[in-house]
Amino acid sequence: MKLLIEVILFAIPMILLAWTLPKKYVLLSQIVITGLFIAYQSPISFAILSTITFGNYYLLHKAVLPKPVKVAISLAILVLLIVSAKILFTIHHSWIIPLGMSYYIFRNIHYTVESYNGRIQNEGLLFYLAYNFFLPVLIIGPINRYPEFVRDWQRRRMNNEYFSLGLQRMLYGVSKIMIIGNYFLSSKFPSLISNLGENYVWLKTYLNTITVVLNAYFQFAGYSDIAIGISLLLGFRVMENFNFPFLASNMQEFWSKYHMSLSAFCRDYIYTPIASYFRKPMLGVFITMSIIGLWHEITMPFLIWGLLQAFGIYLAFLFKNSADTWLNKNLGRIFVLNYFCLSCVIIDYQELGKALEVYKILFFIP
Amino acid sequence: MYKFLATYLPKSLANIVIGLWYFVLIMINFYCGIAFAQGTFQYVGW
Repeated sequence: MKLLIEVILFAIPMILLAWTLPKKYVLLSQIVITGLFIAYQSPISFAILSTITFGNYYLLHKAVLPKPVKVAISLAILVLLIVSAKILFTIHHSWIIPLGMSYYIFRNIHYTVESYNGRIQNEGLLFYLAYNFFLPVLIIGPINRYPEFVRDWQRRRMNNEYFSLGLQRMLYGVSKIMIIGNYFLSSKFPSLISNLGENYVWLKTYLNTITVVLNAYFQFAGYSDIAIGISLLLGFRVMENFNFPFLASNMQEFWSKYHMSLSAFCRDYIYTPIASYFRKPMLGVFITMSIIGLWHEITMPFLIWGLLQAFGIYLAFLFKNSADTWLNKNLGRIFVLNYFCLSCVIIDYQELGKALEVYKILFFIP
Repeated sequence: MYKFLATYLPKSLANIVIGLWYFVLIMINFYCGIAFAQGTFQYVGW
C-alpha cells in the first residue's frame, strides 16, 4: 500500500510537467522523476536498470559486431540476470528481487528481439530511456511494448476523453484494491469464514482457497488499472492486463485474458518459436507455461503450478469441438474458476506437504 | 459506463448519475482507507 501511494505521489508532478513543459523536455522530466523514484525505493534496482538500459542500447545500436552476435550477447546477459536474481531469491530469502526487475528485463528482451527482427527503428537513447524509465508500469507491469510507446508519444496531445478515462481507471483500480481486495476479501470475508464453525472444514477450506486467489487477482488488477490510468493521464495508452478472466469458459481463453501482457509476451517470444520449430503446439504450451511458473519464482511449487496451467490448456484443446451452448459455457466458467483456484493452492502454501493436506480435505481423501 | 448511461438517459441526467456514482465510490474508498489506517481490519496484499 505504501508503494502504491508513493507511485501516485511521484506521478502527480510527472502529470503536471507532462502538460506544462515544452514537448522536448517532457520525456526528460519523466525519466528524471522515475529515476528519482526507483533510486529512492531501491538503489540496486536503479543501478541495474540504468546499466541494462545504457548497456543494451550501446550494444544493439553502437557496438561494431555482427547483428546476431549482438542480439545473442544481449539476450544471454538479460536471461542470465533474471535467472540469477530468481535463483538467489530462492536460495537466500533475505535477498529480495530488485524492484520491478522481472518486468523491465522482459521489456528489454522484447526490445532486443524486435530490433533483431527489424520491427523497431532506433528512435534514439532518450526514447529508450523513457521506455525503460516509465513510472506507471515500472514496478508491476503491464509489460508494455516499445512500438506502441513511440506511436503514443508521436500522437500525444491533450485529450479530455483520455484524461477523464484515466481518472476513472485510477478510481476503479483503487476501489478494486481498497474495497474489494483489502476490505471484503482480506478482512470481512475471512472473518465470516472463520465464524462458520468446526463442522464446516471442507467449506472453510474451499472458501479460503477461492478468497486468497480472488484477493490476489483484485490487488493485481487494481494496480494494473492504476498503472493504465496514470499512463492515460500522461497521454499513453498502455496495453490491458486483465479482461474479465474469470468469465472465460476454458483455460486457453482464461490465459488470453489473465495477465495478458505477460501471456502475450510469452506467446510471442517463447510459444510461437517453439511451436513452429518443433511443429508441436502442445510442447510449446507446456514449456511456455512452465517458464511463466518459474518466472514468478524458481521453485518446485511454481513449476508444478505452471504445468497444471498447461494441462488446463490441454484439456481446453481436447474439448475444443464441444458444442458452444449456454450450459457448456457456464459449466466451463465454473471449471475455470475452480481449476485455477485449486491449482494456486500449491503456490499459496509454498510447500508440497501442506498443499497436499489441503487437497486431501478438498477432495475428501482420508 | 458514461456511454452506457448517455444512451438511455438525457445527457444532463447521465452526468448527474455518473457524478453521484464517482462520489459514492470515493466515499466508500475513504471509509475503507480510514478503517485500514486505524488498523480495524487486517491488510493482506502488497
